[in-house]
Amino acid sequence: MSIKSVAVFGAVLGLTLCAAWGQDGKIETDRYRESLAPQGNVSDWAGVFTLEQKAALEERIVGLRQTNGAQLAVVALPSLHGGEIDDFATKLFEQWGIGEKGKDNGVLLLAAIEDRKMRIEVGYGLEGVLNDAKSGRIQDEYILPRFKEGDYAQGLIDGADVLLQVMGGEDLPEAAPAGKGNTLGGVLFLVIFAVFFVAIVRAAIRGNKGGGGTTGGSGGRLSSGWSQGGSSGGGGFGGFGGGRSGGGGASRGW
Amino acid sequence: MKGCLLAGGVLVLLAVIVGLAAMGMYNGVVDKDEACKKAWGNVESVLQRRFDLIPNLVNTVKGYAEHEKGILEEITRLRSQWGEAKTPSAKIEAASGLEGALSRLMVVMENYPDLKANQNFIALQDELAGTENRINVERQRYNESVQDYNVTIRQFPTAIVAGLRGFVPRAPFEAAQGAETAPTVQF
Repeated sequence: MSIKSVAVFGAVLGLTLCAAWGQDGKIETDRYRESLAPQGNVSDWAGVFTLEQKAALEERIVGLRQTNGAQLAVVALPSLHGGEIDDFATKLFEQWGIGEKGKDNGVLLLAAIEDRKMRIEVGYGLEGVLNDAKSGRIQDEYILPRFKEGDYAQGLIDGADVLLQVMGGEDLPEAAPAGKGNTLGGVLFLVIFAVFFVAIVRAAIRGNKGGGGTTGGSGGRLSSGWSQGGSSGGGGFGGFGGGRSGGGGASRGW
Repeated sequence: MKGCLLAGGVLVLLAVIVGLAAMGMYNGVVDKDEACKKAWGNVESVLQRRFDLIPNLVNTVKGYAEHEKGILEEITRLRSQWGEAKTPSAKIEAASGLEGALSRLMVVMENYPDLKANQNFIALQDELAGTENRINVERQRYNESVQDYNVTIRQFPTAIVAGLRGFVPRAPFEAAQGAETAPTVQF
């Protein structure tokens, strides 16, 4: 074999490799995913939450974690950098180890805002209470309507609250029978939900400002050592527990 | 005499060291072999999950899509084929046949708006999509443990121990032709 043919072979090989590299974008998305470290139970790289929203949601997630150990991670990303949402969610779940080790009682609520893709990924241990159909319905009924209006924060908050209920052992409210009642019931529910939510957030904010004083309602939860209070950084977050998932859950686009 | 004792001692010591090393290697191979078996168990259970969804899916679709009888019958037939499959390769074959039939079904379902609006069908679609995704995940994890095992038993010096104890390379679970991606479910 002449030197020339070896050189040509090398060049062709090199080009093929480069093409394969750039084409599926896998390398970039993997590198991006590996660079992500949780900011807390709520991680927002897309800038969808206000500090108050993030802190309030964080409190409620910590509340569930303390009562029954189940761990919810809420993640907003700008983009997946060429990755597939299903694959990305499963690998991020594994990377962070959401849920307790051995119990695998974690859930990941992930939204890639610019890609308009989202997924609820469910740990092995919660597949029973939160099956794929429920994961899909939560997105269809609680999250996507808000996302379609461009209100990503509220969509994620509503979704996270329903997830917390289900993870805490409550049943997902049954879907209203198809037809007009469906949308009406949904709207009604959302309104009630929003009112409730605002009340809780208000109480939470007041609670935080009040310092050491006891507050009514959700105030009890706020005084936990785990809470991050009004600060946004990853200060008191000790990471997740090493739980695993096996691709359960559902994905949506909007 | 003294020299003989010394040489004997050294030999015994060497034998002990080699024996211990071989034992360590052997145990390492056994661990990886077991990891493969466990991963394969997970693959089988998610494949089983897909087959368990079939009766419900067929019943839901039947009422809406009279014209698609052929494809539904094929799916039912493939399901019974799974029941008869005993070896991993027969199971893989049945699974990939069904994978193709299901993705074709999902494509024709696009023509039935009533069906697509059916709550039960939406739930089934989610279960099905979730199952396909689980299969991908467990297949990937199985293949990773197979690769880890295969590399170990072929590498020197573990290869000697593995060869003596009759460990053979395991076959990875390749995705079915043209079925690298799960049946896409459009909404």
